[in-house]
Amino acid sequence: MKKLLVLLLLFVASIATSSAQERIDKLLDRDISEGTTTMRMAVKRDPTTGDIVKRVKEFTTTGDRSLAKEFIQAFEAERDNADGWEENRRGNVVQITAVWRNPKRIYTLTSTGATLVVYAQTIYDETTEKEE
Amino acid sequence: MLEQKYIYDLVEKFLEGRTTNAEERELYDLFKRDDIPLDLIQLRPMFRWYEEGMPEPKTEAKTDPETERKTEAKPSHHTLAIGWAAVGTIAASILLIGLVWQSHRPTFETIYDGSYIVEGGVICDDMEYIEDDIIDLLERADAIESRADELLAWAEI
Repeated sequence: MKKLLVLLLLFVASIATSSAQERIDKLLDRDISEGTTTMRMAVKRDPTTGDIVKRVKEFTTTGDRSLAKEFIQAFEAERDNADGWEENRRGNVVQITAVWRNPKRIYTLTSTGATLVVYAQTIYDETTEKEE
Repeated sequence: MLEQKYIYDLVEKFLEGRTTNAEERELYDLFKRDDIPLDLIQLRPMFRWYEEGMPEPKTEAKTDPETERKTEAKPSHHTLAIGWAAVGTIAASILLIGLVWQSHRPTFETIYDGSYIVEGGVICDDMEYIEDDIIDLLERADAIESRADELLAWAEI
């Protein structure tokens, strides 16, 4: 019974981890149609093989406070699941960095109340990426 | 008859290499005459050649020293054609190697293929326009990754 409970907890934890990142990713994959929103996607490939080494997504929006609140809530939900975490708050300014290993994923959020900037980067091949 | 015997003896002496310069000049003059023995007529061109100083045999193309120099300096059309063909082949090979190398060399487009920017609902993936933005974004990402590595290192302590 005890074993079953442990397995169940591990299963829930793994789903929670993937769900948490998916929440952030879903927000990042939203339809960009407003003029105040910009999405930049940078893909870095191994020049020899063409395989993706790193993928970086930058989401910037201005004046959408409700969206900023959604992002902050998604980040805060991941605090306990992250392998590394840094948070700074001063007045309306919120800055969060969340890191996961295997695969290495780094999410950062900077919200000033008026402007929101979110970075999401996934490193697929750290060795090749550092050699570049 | 006595003179004919003298001519035979003189020719024999010449062929043995025992004639003096005077005797040789005498032979040259004798063989210009029409009354030399018939069996010695075949030697007339030889003595004429000796008398002329043993000149080199002439070919049809060389008429004078100037023409001879020009003939030696100017390559034939066949040689020129081969030369130009070789130059052309080498140039074409270098060009082909350069094109193949260029096509396989990683370019900005191939290294960052898949990158794009969406602004105001408009997607742009033309590297010519977004190159600077992509490089800037990757540089900022590298700085964030460095900070993230520090966080991971602290988490392990």
